[in-house]
Amino acid sequence: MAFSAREDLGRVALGAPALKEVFIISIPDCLLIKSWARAERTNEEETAVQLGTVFRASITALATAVGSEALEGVTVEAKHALIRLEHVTSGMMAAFVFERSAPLGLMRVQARQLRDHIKGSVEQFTKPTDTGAARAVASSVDRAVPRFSGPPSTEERAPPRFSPRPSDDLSATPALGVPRMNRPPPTKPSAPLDAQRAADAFTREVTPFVREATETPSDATPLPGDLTIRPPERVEPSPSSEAEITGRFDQPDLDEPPKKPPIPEVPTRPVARPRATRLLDFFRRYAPDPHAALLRLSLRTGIPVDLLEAPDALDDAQVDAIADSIRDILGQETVGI
Amino acid sequence: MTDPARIVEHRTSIRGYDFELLADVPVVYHCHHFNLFWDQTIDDALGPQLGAVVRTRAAREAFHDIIAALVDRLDAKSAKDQQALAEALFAALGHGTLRMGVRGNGAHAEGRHLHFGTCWREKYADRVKRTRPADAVAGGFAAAAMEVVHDLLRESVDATEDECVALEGDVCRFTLRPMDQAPLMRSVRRPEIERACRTPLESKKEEDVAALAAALSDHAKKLTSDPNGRLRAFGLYFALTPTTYYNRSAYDALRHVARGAPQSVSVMKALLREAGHVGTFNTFGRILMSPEWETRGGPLRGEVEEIVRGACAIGRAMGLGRWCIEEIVPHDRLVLRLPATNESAYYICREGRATEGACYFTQGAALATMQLAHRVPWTSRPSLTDAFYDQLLQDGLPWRVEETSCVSKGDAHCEFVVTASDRRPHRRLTL
Ligand SMILES: [Zn+2]
Repeated sequence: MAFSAREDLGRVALGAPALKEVFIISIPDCLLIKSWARAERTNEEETAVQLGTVFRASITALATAVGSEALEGVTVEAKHALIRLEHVTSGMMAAFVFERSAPLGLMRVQARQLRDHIKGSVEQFTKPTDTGAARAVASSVDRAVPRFSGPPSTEERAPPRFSPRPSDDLSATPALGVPRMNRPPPTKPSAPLDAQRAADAFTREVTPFVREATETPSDATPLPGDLTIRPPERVEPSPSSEAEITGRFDQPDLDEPPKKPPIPEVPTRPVARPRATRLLDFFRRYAPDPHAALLRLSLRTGIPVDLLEAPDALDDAQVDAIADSIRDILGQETVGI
Repeated sequence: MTDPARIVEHRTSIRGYDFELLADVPVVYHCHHFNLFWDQTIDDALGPQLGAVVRTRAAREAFHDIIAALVDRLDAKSAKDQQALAEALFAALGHGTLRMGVRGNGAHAEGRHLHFGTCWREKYADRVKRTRPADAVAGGFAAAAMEVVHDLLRESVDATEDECVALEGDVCRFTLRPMDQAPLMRSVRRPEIERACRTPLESKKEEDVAALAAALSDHAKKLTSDPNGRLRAFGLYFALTPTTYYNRSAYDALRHVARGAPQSVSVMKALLREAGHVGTFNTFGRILMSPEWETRGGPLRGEVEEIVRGACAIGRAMGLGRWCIEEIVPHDRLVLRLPATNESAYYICREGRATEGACYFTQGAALATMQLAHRVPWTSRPSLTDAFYDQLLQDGLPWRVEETSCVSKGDAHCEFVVTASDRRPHRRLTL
């Protein structure tokens, strides 16, 4: 079964027709890093938690029963499915769900081959921390699901004022097939004069040193219209929330229609709803100063913290804004979800 | 001329109110934790490009006042002497080293060991990758210096940072360009600060607090930056910065957010409070744990009142205003009063009459005081690392703060009431 790290889980699954689903799960926290399913399904996050829990319980049970033997894998047999849980790295496991009709031996062989390829991706990663490894794997297998919509190429944009240097980490690992930068760096391409003019508007009194301290902030001069930061845009409130959602989306590419995601080579489920959940899980895990992370995201996107806490209610534009901000805060060109 | 000792001679204070001034411009020592978080919040609110412009201008304004005054007082006549004075001043304040030069119609500056960029790299670079320069303060300083040295209109030189150590470069490089003069604002200097100081206050146990503050203040005056212009003390990096830098950038950004995304105002205030919290927790905590403190205050017993008195003394010695304990009930309630804060003194001068307390740094500092008093096991002398801090806030903050009086509202003083609160993680610091 050919499976290189450049290929996605879906392609790999073509070589294992009895394989129904794959989950890559962080341990010990049992968060879903990546999943693939041949048919639609909806509760991957919860499934990942349960499968991870089984795996962890198996390690404990093994240690109790026979001492400090390393757990290689766990097979779960049911009437309609076979599940194989495999240890990948110290911070990661994988679960493979097969048709019940698959021969047990073949299932184990295919699961281990898949596991070895996933493991290989992790080991090739130049910074072998769990964090980096999880991101690397997530990126390397990310082809089958739509990614953050971005503008088609960097050439269509004016060069940014401060040119950020090219990535020296994820995208410098070609063996992993991490996508190269598929959107411009987050620096706004607008002329700095816009910012200068906007800053001028902050200064509400031109006569030096004589202004009486009587103005209130509401008297302030409005900002010029060419600011890259825009006044709030009204978006439709979601049925589940009474709150008025106003967004301040300052990422320039929201002006353009989102690029169509790549067509997956095997059927995948719709990802809009879980994507927000996954993004926020990922962010909570890797953000610096984690106690302030959601507040920062809220301030950057204009999305109230309550909504970020219940991401089901977010619409696509809001999720895009969140993805942009997360990428910007973490300094990553892509977020490996 | 360029002797740091001669520059330091121009540091004064407002007696009885514990504000620090340099050449009659209000200044304050803040640690890198506070500085980085405050800047980050401005940029989160405005976006990085506008954020950098606003911060550069705020620094330029305040440093122009200081450089112009020192050039005059130290009788630096030639452009060469004035530039040397500015460069020496920058290093003496703990901001790193800066060298400026002229090229064609423009000018440039090269910074090394700059406080913001270098500290950002040391604190965050192993976890996140920065894509934008960090040293608007140095850029604003360089612009102001060029205005003074070349006899240009104040606030007429623009600075952009083209390379930065926070982006993994070896040095920071700035381009300085003459522009139209920016709109000017009413200056905030000694007379404006004095006008806000109307009510002398005393703390509970005033004698203890005053004695500790005086001893610490003497120690603080002896702190000097190293040959790289870095000021390291108590395991932290400090820089003496004009308070107008912080105030102008934050209130400008808040006004902008109120206009464009009013739902985010409370979030921004919470983050400004968190800047105050992280800075105060680290600075006060490390000073309390230092040998210098033990020499003056004896070994820490870890009692709530002891820590709160210590915090008031440190706040005064750092130029954060006259911190006074009005009431302390261990595990339940702290009431702090100050005749004014750096924030409210600025606000009443520049922003007009506030409708609610406007001292976000001090609100966070009051919260941090309760954290230090209750949640640090002092007698086991823990290391106050970033990990310790993250752990402490993992389940939220068990306190809430209310600024019940504020000079910016027309009240006689600023009062901060910290009370025990239920832990609600995403609400932390927002109340
Ligand atoms: Zn820099």
